[in-house]
Amino acid sequence: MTDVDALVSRLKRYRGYFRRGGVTLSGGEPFLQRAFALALARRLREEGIHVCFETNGQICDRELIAAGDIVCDVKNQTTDDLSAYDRFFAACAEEGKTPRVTNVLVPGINDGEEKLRSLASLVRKYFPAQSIRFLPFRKLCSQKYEELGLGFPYSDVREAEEDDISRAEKTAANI
Amino acid sequence: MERQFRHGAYETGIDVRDFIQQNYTPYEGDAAFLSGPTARTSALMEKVNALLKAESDKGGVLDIDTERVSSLLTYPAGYIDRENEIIVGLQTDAPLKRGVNPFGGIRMARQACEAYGYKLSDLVETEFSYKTTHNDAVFHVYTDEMKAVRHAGLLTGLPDAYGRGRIIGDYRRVALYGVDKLIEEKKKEKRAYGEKLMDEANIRTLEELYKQIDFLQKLKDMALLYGVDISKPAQNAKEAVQWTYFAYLAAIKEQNGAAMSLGRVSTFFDIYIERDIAEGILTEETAQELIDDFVIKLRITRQLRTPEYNDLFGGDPTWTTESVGGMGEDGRTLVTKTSFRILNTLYNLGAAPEPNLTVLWSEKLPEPFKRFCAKVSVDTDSIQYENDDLMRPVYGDDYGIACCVSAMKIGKQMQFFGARCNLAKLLLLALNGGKDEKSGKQLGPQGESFTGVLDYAKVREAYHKYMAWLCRLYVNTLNVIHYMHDKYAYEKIQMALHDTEVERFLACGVAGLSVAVDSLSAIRYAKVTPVYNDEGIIYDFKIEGDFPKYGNDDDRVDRIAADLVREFSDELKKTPAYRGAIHTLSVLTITSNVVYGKKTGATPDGRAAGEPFAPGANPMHERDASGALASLNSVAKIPYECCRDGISNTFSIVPSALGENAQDRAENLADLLDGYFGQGAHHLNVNVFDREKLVAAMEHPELYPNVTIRVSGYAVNFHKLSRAHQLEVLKRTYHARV
Repeated sequence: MTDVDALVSRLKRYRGYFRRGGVTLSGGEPFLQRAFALALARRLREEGIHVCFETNGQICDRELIAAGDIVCDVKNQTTDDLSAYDRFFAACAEEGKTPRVTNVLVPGINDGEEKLRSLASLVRKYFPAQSIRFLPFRKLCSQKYEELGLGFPYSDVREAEEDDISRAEKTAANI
Repeated sequence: MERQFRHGAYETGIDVRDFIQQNYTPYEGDAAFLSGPTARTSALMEKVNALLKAESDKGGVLDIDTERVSSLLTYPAGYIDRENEIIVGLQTDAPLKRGVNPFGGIRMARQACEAYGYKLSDLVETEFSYKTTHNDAVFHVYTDEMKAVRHAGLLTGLPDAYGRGRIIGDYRRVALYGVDKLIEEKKKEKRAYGEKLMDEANIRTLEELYKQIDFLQKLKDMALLYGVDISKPAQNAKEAVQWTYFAYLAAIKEQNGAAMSLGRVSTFFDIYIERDIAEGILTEETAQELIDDFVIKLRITRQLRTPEYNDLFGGDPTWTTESVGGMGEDGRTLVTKTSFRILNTLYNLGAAPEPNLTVLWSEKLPEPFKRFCAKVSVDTDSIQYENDDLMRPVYGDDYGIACCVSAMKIGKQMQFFGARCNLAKLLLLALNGGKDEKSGKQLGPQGESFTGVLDYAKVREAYHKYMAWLCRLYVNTLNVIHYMHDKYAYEKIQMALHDTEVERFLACGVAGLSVAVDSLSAIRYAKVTPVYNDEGIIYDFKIEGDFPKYGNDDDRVDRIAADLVREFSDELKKTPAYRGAIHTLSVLTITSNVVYGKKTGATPDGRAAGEPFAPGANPMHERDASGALASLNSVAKIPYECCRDGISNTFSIVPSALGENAQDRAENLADLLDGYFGQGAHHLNVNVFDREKLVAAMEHPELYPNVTIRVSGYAVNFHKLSRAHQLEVLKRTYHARV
């Protein structure tokens, strides 16, 4: 376990590099480590370093949302239920935050018209100007599954191509 | 029409910097004004590309003139395509045909001819059988000890059999003043020296001045072979470029120096170009065409070298280094439109390793220029960056880079190139009580061989003792080399384009820094036990436990690196250098890290015998595991004040790590450079390149003829590297995340 002070002093070593950026807490799921994430964000802000959280949006925590910029990666691959995101986006809107929304596009799983439309209209409901960034599904992790002796659930699915991404972008933009 | 430049001190004495300061126009805008290649440029470049392909098909050398010895007036005028060239002048009478220059050493010239299926003519052989070459003379004086450390590879790459190079003539002087004025100034100085005491130093200077004047006259005659009279100052941009190029051409005809760098000409040219544009003599298109044509000439610069030389400095480089950008002492940027134009040649003519375009980076450079440089880097991999904010306080604002990282005031300072000492091998020597770990021979003073678990303090003490011994020997060896080079292979035309009272550096170097540092870290923080062979020589190490490694922004080990270079630098200074030269130090290997690795046994950091070192000041391959920025932070800690001859870092990153799209990549790369140099780092080579593309280039060179990558301090065509070099480049840490 690293303590906040030690981490902050290490991060300060990189201050010169991020004129435009800052520190992004990603995961795992940073919202699961509430106390640490809040303390770290506070200390970084005190240092004048910009903070961003990359979360899956399942934990709707006002204080965390208020503590930095938000990247929300929508996990809709195994469910059609977007109610958690409805809550999360509503909280963001009330905190005056416009999250950047990402979504890993898995061919044949969540690139159907219906799924794309319902996600896009939910985002539009709260953030009319915000577009969704679709990330192409890759199989770089399959070796890791193998090493761990676990079956890779998407082994039969193909990787997403440039075409899939632009098609999804078009569908999402034209609702 | 106003043809007069603004007045200044440059009118009374030789002072190119003053001319620039009085007359240049800083440019803070973006690249939108740039022009593409004209049809003429493209057609000429196509001819050159065909020649380059023929050269490559012939095994790297297109043709050699074995009958004559290269100098200013040896060959008749040569052209690529006479009607369509704007800037004229070739090294020999045909493009890519190499001349022979045996003054560095006849053996090297002979072997180079033979390696490519030629035979040096009897005429040249006979002529040189009556001459002492630089190489002969050095070996007349070398002691047994010097020969032994050189043979073992403790001191390597010494310029004792080839031209030392790394001297930048102020080629701009020819354009600004015309040759007559330069001759007149040198004659004046010769007369003044004639009044002094005729001691050895003054007699030598007088003889050198004679040679300089003689060669300035020859420079005029050389230009006349092309029908151009350069006795008076250049009157317009085309003449300024042509005059300057003639001066550079004279230098590369006269000297086969390892690095024959150009200096800092872009902003100088810009003054003439902008005046011509304002007067309607040039348009943007024809201005770009002029620079394109000049760069085509620089791209076909060739020297004749042996394949062994190529083992050390892979890729047939000439280090035609041009320093671009930087800031002025008065706070104005030295970036001009021509700084953009010269970088734009990488688009107009395609990516290429030469000229070695070196951007002098300052935090204060105009943002659009920073972004343009970063974009060119991402697109072509053909730029290196050096920290102007670090060098300007030392060298002023009219310095240039020779070779890869060696800064010097143009026309006012020169260096005696000193290659480098193998620090990793020196550590093994210390552990073996002065014996060479490869041959078992006693090279250094006899000492205790280490046994059992290595004790850090004792190892450090022994290392220091052998370092002191070697540094003295190193400086003495270099003194011999440079005394003889001055005597038998003096750079007549390049020194004619220097002030007579020149400041000299003795540019020493170290290789294998990261190996030595990690080895010391292992001894300190892990448990390291030597393993001996039957002769009692250490051939391997047992390493138990982990240790901090250089390249992870970890002060525990990074401090060892800083201490080592400081210690080495201090030791060097204890032995006076030839001609009062100031000792400097570089951490640079070029591509020779492969050969040095081959000559070095297993090291306490776990590196196997024969395995390549990391290049320059780079952390060892794959050991900088904390990300790209941590790796940069470690290198940035090496103190420039102890390494005034440069600290080279080669950095490879995959495009996706820099950003999603071209604009993000350029911006992030510019930020990264600001972050790195803001910490006082010195140099960065940037390769933005997918590893997959390099693997493909290695397997199918025919499909990737123009893959340019940056190695230590210069760029090469990837396919010109040997297989070992290619594999080594692939092995270097590729940063897939920042």
